Amino acid sequence: MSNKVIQIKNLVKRYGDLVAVDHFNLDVREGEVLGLLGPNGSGKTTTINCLLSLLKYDRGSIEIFGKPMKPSAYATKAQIGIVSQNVAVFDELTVHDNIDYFCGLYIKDREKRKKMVLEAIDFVGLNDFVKFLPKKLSGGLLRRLNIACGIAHQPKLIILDEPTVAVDPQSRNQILENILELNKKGATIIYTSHYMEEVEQICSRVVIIDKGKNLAEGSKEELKTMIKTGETIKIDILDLSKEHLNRIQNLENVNAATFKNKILEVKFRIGNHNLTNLLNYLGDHQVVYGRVLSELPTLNDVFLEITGKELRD
Amino acid sequence: MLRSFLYEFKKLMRQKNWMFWIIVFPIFMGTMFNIVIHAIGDDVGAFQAIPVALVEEGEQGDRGTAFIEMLYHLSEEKEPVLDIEVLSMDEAKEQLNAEYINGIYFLDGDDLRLIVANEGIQQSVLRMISNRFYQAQSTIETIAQNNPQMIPQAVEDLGRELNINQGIEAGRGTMNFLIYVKLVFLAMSVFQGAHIGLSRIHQLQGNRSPLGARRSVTPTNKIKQIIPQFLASSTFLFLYTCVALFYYIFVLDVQFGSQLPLVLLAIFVGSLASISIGMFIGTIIYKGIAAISEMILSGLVMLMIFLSGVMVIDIRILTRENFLILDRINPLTLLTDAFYSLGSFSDYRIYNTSLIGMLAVAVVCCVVSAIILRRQTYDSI
Repeated sequence: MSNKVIQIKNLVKRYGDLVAVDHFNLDVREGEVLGLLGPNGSGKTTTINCLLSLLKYDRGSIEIFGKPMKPSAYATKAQIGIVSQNVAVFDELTVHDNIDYFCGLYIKDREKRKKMVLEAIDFVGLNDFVKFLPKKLSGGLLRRLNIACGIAHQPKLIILDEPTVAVDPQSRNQILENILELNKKGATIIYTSHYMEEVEQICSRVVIIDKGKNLAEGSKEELKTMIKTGETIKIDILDLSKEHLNRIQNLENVNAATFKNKILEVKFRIGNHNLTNLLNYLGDHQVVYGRVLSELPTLNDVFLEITGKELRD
Repeated sequence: MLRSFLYEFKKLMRQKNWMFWIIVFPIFMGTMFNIVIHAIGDDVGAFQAIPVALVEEGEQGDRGTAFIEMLYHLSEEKEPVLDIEVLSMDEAKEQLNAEYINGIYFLDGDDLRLIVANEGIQQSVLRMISNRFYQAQSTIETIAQNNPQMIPQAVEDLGRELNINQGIEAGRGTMNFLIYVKLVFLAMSVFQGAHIGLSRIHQLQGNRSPLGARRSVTPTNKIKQIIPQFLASSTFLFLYTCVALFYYIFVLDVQFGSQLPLVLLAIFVGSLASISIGMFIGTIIYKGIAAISEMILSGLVMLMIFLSGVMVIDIRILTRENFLILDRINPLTLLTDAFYSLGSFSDYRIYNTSLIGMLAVAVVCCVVSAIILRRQTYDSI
């Protein structure tokens, strides 16, 4: 197995009576894209801030690159890039100067830095905006600048804390592509989000966090097999009697069936031949149906089953 | 380090919000002061000497004697400011009530009081004279300790400084009171600049801003980040203050003569002290909302102004008599003393002491800020 880049053991962070991070354990392996998935207020950012030694914590230990993380661990910090939830750039400096400024806090060699800054600008696609002040940039471009400031020094570990909040879909896609590109170049990525689609799209491993606890972790596929929920089948039907609906609910592996707006929605437990059984029933009872759609369980279903609530509650 | 300095300086130059207190305030106050002084001149024509009674009781000490000498100096100039008559208290009160005189200087030992029947321009000038005497007292006392033979010259210098008939142009290579007042405005604006230091620290603290968080996780330690910020902020504050200073010189026609380089040096050292105080407050008050540290700093600057006697001279006297250490470490007092000593005396001892005092404040505040900030982590962000 790959080396551990981060090892968090029994991390506890309290704000008075509130336990924000509750005996949280996490291993991050070299070269992976780890998604920290949880709703707002679940403890993702607090965990990241503890990880970076920005926040004091009550219990536990944190090691990065095999060394204890502390405010003065400069050698470790030199290998980390952080892209925060809030845009952290200087309003008074241009795009180029912002990136150069932050890169300069890591890279002292002027020539090397100059090259890295240009690469970062090119990487996030801000070549046409180098002389712009941040206030002249759109939300999406500003987010890209935020990313460039965090990764220009080409760190081995990049922590992205909800970098796509309030970003238009086009910029979001570009940002996600950039993250995958950084991973391909060798960076280990921690990506926190409450958008399950993003996590599904880019993360090789996912940790589900709620109320500061590590509820489940694994690959997307592994997580989905942990739950009882199987596929959801949606079928267009012009009319369906209550009697048929009741009978469908009693079919094998059916968790729930609803008929609304001329759509029959049936949620199945994991099992074989669920779709076939349903279509056979409809055919046998001369129920006329149209389009059939089958959806596999999502991370939201995983989250729902583990916590009893929707991811965006 | 140079790169960070240049970026910090560039950032400050693009922040327009500092202009009010550092440039606009002293320019406005200096201009208004000039207008008022010209109005006084117009009002009293060629400025008639102000009739005032001198009432003495008991035997005068050194302070009382020096004050009497200064009064006579002001009444014996070619264009006298005062017309002094020595009277008993009863006679003086009678004349004051009849409005033959504008005020009474009452001296009992070293106790000095000014009695006026009403308020007006003449009464303000009388008050200004006694206030400035009090303000100059520590300087005179220092001279008495070190160079007693210089006291008559010091008293004469003070009298000359107070002679507003000499106009705004100093002449003779020294500053008069009108110039000194403008330098006090500059001193006040220099210390309003402490907020620049505070804002720089906020940008370094992880719990204050996303920028602070980003900078806190970099491998460049806080000391290396503070030094260029400190130097860039001080330089910026100095240059902004110089804008107001040059306005005084070129627009209000205030001439500093050969003292200009020393005035500039005092402003620069004052800027170092001011920025360091802002950084210090920002560092030690790092919990709660940012506005709390801003309010505390505003309060501290107001307290410094208040204790320096710029607003009410009696407070300076009270501070010096009861809390000497406060008087000695108040950088605003040190800066105004440096200005004052430049204008009044040829001995640079007080000027040097004041600058050393301000530098000490700057060094202590900076070192303590750096040590605390270096390992600062936060309970909440």
